[in-house]
Amino acid sequence: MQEIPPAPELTPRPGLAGKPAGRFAAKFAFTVCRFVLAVVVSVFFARWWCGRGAEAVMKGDLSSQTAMAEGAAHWIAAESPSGAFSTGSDVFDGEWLFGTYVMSSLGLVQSAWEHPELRERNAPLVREAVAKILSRGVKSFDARSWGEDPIDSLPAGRGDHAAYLGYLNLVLACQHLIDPASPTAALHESISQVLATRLEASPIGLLQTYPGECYPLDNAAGIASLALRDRSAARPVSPSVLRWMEAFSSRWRDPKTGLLIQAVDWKSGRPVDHARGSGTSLAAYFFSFADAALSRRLHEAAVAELSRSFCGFTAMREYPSGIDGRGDIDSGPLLAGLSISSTGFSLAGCRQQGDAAGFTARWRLVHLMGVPARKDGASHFIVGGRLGDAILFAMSTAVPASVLDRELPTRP
Amino acid sequence: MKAWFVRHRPLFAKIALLLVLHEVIVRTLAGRDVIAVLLAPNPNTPFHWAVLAGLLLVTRLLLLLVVPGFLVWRFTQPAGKNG
Repeated sequence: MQEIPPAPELTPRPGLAGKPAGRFAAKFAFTVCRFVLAVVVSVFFARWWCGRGAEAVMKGDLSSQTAMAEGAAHWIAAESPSGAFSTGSDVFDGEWLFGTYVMSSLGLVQSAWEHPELRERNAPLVREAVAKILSRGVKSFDARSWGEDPIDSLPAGRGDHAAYLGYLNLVLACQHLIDPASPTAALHESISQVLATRLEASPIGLLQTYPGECYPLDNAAGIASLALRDRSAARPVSPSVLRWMEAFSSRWRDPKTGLLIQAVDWKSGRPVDHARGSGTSLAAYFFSFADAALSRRLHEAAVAELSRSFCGFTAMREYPSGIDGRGDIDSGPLLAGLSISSTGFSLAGCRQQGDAAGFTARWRLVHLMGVPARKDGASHFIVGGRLGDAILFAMSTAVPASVLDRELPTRP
Repeated sequence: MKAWFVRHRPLFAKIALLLVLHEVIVRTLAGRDVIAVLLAPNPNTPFHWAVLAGLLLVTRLLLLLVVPGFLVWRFTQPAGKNG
């Protein structure tokens, strides 16, 4: 019988395992690798999860636009008591309620332009939203500030009512294109004439939003509405409107950054606030109804000066680099200078300019912080509430110039 | 597979709890104007809405940005340390 040889004596293998310092280095390297892997997986998971619906929204997918339209319909039908918002300021509460109906209407009109089959559903909703805008409760924020009702005082009122009349008139100009039989056609003409007359009379070519307060952004909505009115009638945009729009290419923009100045002195036109992201991106959106080139220039300036990207998420600054401004009711709270409003408004420019990557990167952030959810077929951004839903609906359905041109009659 | 899942049940239970908490808050806040709570907090804002809105964002950031990475960290631990 063969004898089994004794097992050799085990000795420690030379190398890393045998040296305490080498073992520590290996463990440390392994831990660092695990940590890096964990961070990478987290970031890519969030990036993938938050960007899932972006492509469909960018392409104008019918089901996503229908769900957003249902979300808007929910808020239009909802009660709008004076306590709907609680910002601590009656004026801001009123502005937000007004803004909800304005942005919802614009979103509904845009989705009807892109999907004509939605026209039948959306046109009555826009009429309902316009009726709410014209209701005494919604008008009251402006009426209280001026001491006169913005509609009842037409055409001889002493106030400019730049925001109320400007935003409303833009809605009416857009509504006219999907609902020519709308009963507000006469009101649209009346407001247009008043805005044009008051702009002509203004020493700086801008109107006041409230007594002593003048914001180029609010005027952008009104001036765009006048240009769209001319385009809808298949006539050339009037020279006065072109002149006022030209000032948005030169006078009302910061020469260094190209961004829109947020507020100016109503008598001299001297800037009284910085050029800012929220105003620039929203003005770019408003001018898309009037002048595609001006809209593109404003959007490009905002992207060049304010865009900040990290791992596939893009946010927009409210102020250009080097200016340490505070957050306010327009920008929302700022985190390291980044603004949720500015980011949300810039979605429109990205979509209109065909910047799919920019749109997706912004959408990821909006998704992460906005918390989208569906309820009864309607999509909502939980953190945005009614105003956030309305703004994101309007911005993410903003149409490129080619779609708007298709809606406009051709000149004889 | 089942044994592995059972072994890590406490961890999965915590993640499930976080998911449920997030979903409950989403459903509670749906249809409310949370933006007023977050963007313009003021003394008139009911305290519980502010707390819920804050919790919503915390649970969301945990679920999207922390949990996936934590799972990777946990399951790449050297044998013997993660059970």
